Amino acid sequence: MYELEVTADVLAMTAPGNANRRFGDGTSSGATATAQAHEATAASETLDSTQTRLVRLVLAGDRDSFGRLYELYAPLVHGILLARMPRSEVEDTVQEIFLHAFKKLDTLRDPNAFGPWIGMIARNRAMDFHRKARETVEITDDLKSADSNVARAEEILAIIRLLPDAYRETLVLRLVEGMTGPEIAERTGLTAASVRVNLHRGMKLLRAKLGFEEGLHE
Amino acid sequence: MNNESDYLWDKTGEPDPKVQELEEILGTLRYQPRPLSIPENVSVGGKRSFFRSATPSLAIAATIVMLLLGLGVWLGWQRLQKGEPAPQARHESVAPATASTPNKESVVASSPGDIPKVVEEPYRSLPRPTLVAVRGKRVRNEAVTRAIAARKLQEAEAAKDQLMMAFRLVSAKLNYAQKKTQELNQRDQVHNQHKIG
Repeated sequence: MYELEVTADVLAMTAPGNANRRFGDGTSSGATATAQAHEATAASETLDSTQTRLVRLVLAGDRDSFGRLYELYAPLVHGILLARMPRSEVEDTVQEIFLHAFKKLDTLRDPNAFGPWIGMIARNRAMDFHRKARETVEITDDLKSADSNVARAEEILAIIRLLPDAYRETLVLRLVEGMTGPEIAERTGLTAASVRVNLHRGMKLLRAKLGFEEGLHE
Repeated sequence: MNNESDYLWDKTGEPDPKVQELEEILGTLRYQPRPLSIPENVSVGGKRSFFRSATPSLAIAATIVMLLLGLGVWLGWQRLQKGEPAPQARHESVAPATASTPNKESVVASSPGDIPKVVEEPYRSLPRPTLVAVRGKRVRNEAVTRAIAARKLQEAEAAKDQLMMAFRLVSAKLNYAQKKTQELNQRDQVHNQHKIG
């Protein structure tokens, strides 16, 4: 029932007549909202053209351009992996995925889809990890960090990992990697509406699981 | 809800303290930039072995060669089974057609006023002298011919079995090559599976 509530709220916010509520504080004019929307679209087009250009350069033999692609998309891959794998495995796996992507870049049919493509590779790699890890020992508490902040972060991350796939990935990209909703949509290839719904539903579930009224720092 | 929603969505509007708190705590796990090291010997497209890249074409070529060989062997055995001479010898043994040799078709007029009809005569109505001679020779050596024919029949049967086995092998190899090619294509392509929302 409450999911329906959230959906209605989100739909109300994404409705064309309420565009100012999406981008402003509710009192901003329609012209301002339109301008912000244009800016967001322009930014999206810039990212698309940048990744297309970089992919083509790499295919033409420019290895340095792949470093730029790595800078742009490493946080995305890191977030996707962090939502699914133990933190200790994530750093190395990010490197492996980009190395694999570099070798297989010629199989990418649409240079504009580099983000969704490498995201899919990351999800598949995480699934492979769990398939192989079933027979091995699980990560235990003594492997967790001694730092209290990091330990608390890992606890919350563990709760996020219990959420459905779409929610946990979007929440990690937003709360851990610090991306905004539009950035998540651009990089993952999801629609903005999907990301918005995933963020709100995921946040509501997370709040319920954490019990915010008791405070996070107890 | 609106302020919270805006802040959660694109970090605009009044910050939600609870979301900010979560950002602050979880931010400790954020990606720390680390240089990507790509070995010099690694290139786009990877290192594809000759065998892997040439497998489909090699398999097709091998299949065609095996089919041609099998066809040649089968035709050879068929000829032996029928006791026919080689193509050159057969041309030499056939006597040239004489002027008296009747044609396959002849013009027949049943009555003076009728339109002449074209009647097709049976091909074997008048055997040619060479064929008669061959037939006579066969009659004389009937017993020998039967024995030889029985032996050749057995050999032909064995050859047929071998040929069928070869065809089965070729078919299996072709299927394997096709399967491998499809696997390679499927492995290299990522389809629109990223829409998880």
